[in-house]
Amino acid sequence: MTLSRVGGAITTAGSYTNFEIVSIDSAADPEAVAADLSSRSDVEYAQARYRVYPSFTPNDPLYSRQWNFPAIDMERAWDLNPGASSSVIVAVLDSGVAYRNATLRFNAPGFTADGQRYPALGTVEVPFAAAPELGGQDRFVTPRDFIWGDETPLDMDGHGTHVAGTIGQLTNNGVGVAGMAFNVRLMPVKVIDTAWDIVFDSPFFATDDVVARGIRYAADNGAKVLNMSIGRGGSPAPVLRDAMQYAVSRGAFLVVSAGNEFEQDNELNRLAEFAPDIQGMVAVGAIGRDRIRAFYSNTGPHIELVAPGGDTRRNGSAGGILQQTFDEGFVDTFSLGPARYRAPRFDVFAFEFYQGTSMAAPHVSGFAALLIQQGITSPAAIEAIMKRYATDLGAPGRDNEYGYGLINPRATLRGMGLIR
Amino acid sequence: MKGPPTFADHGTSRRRGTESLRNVALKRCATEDRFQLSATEDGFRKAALKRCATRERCATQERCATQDGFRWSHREQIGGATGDSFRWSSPSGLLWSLACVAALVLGGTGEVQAQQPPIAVRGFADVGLRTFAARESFEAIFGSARALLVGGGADVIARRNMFLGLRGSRFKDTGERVFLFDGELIRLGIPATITLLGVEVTAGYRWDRDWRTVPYAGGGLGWHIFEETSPVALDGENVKETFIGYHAVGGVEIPLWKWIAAAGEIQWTTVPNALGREPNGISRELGESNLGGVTGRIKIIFGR
Repeated sequence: MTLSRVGGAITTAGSYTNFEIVSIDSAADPEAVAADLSSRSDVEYAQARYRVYPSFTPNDPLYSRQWNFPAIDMERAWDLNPGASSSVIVAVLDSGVAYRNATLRFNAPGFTADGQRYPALGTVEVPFAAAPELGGQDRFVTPRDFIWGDETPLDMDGHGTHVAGTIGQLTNNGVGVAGMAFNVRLMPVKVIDTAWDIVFDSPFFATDDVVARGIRYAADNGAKVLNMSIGRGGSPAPVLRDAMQYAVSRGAFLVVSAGNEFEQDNELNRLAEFAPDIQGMVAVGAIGRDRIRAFYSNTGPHIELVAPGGDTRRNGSAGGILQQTFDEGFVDTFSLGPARYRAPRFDVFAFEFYQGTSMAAPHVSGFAALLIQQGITSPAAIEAIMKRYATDLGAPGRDNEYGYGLINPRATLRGMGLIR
Repeated sequence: MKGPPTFADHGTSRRRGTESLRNVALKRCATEDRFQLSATEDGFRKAALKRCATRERCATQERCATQDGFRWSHREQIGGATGDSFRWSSPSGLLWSLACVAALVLGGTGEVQAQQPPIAVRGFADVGLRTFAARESFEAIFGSARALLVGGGADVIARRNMFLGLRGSRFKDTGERVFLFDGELIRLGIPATITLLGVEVTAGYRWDRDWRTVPYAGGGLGWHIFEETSPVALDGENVKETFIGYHAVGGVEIPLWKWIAAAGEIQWTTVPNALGREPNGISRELGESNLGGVTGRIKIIFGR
């Protein structure tokens, strides 16, 4: 094949080149022409001239194991909006967050669980540390603990810290993993009591009224996104509905996990059931790495969106969502049996794969923070644009498994042009 | 039939009486002297001299100051400039001669123009303000439905009244991508650059009388190359398409000075089904599909 046969002509390659550019007919196949040219003795190499795009890929070493971000095209979404900004506050209504260093003294009486008697530990000093990958103290605003009734909502489980990481883990810092909206500020609001809270005898429990107070607190203190990777079954909770409507009226966007009870009769998460009625609140189901609804993810008319939540049953342990949180071996000591039961440490961190709609929801919360930074501040508008650009999965149109589909941050952030 | 007055004072010269007409004739004669000195062709020099002699006679004889005499002298000029005896010895000679001919024609009256070559070509540049038909869509992206377009082109005028024009125009501006929710427009801060290149062919009629102004009207079709780009766009996200449109135009031309005239015109353009075809376009959201609009335009015309 000669250049003339493919309409080829050598064009100016510009400065800083040691090669030539050959233009060819638009009808010719660039790859075929390149292959043919390469075979010529007077050609050192030839290749098709591909277009290169900007693409932000975090340099965090474990990012390659975070399948969840490429699954929603976050790298190209970050090109449009690199991690929101500190002007956006996302409240994490959860088990607390490992946001500061402390050593607290608790009394640990004995208890019985699963038929086993765990001995009393007496007074113990428990160390807490801030999760290194969540950033410094300036990252956190107006923390509040509605379980212990103070202003130090320290995580004694790891759930809230993991969720906070997916929302705002430090990103592109060469350490650990990435988060969705890595420039936002976080508001830890503890409304969930976990095993050690119970053992240490916290004065309050995660009841409807406590959660409702947490919602109102977050809305009143400037949070623009409330992540609630929490839920309960049972009867309806009008007090929560009222609090959620209040928060939306204050300009906060609410994200609630759909629930993990699909295989337990698909019991409805009463916190999520309001989602279709409140414009500015979404209920989020989970998908696995294969973009199929996770085995545990609840279905129903309240499901509005899905996001990566992990499915270790189909995709193995790496099919979960990887984030930094406590090293379980230092927290869940009761899981080792009474003989090895000891006081916990909340200052040892690891990168852990979790799965659940709890892990899906913070993707949507981080996404909402990006949209707010982009100028879409109305909760109802955030919900509308998320639904509009969601990638339809499952049955065409809205369905009870995937809702409107998988969140699509890039398309959403890009918005509308004149024609396209 | 009379052509358009090419000098600003020409159209009124007949009303000014003998003295002013004589001044005009003398002025032209002086102009031709310059041509004569520059020309290298003997034949041309002779012709020019002859023309000058004719002019001087006109200028000095009372009867030449009548309209008929003035016209007659111009007819002679035209005949000399286009005669077979001319041989062009150099490109510069050709250019000077063409310029001389053009200058003489510019100075002509309607009678003279009736004898001009049947086709005249003029160039023009213009600037216009377009109000887009897709008013809401453009307002959404740019904050305004109006935009400046610059352009230029050429007209071919046949037998004084018919014209065929080719015009190119360009509009380019950068706005923002948007989202529309519940009637509220939200700007996303992501640049959206729209480039609109138009190539239009217009045919029409000029009411070329002895008035100071020449009204004209026409219509035609155009090719409108639309580009929508964003610095962060991926393959398939940018748009470059060509649409066919139609237009009608009307305006008034006013001679300014010698070879220069100005015109003001209004053009209505329709480019149907260009917008509103894709779900991710604000134009579709707003139910607007026409890329055309109404353009008010000022033209500067070079030539006669």
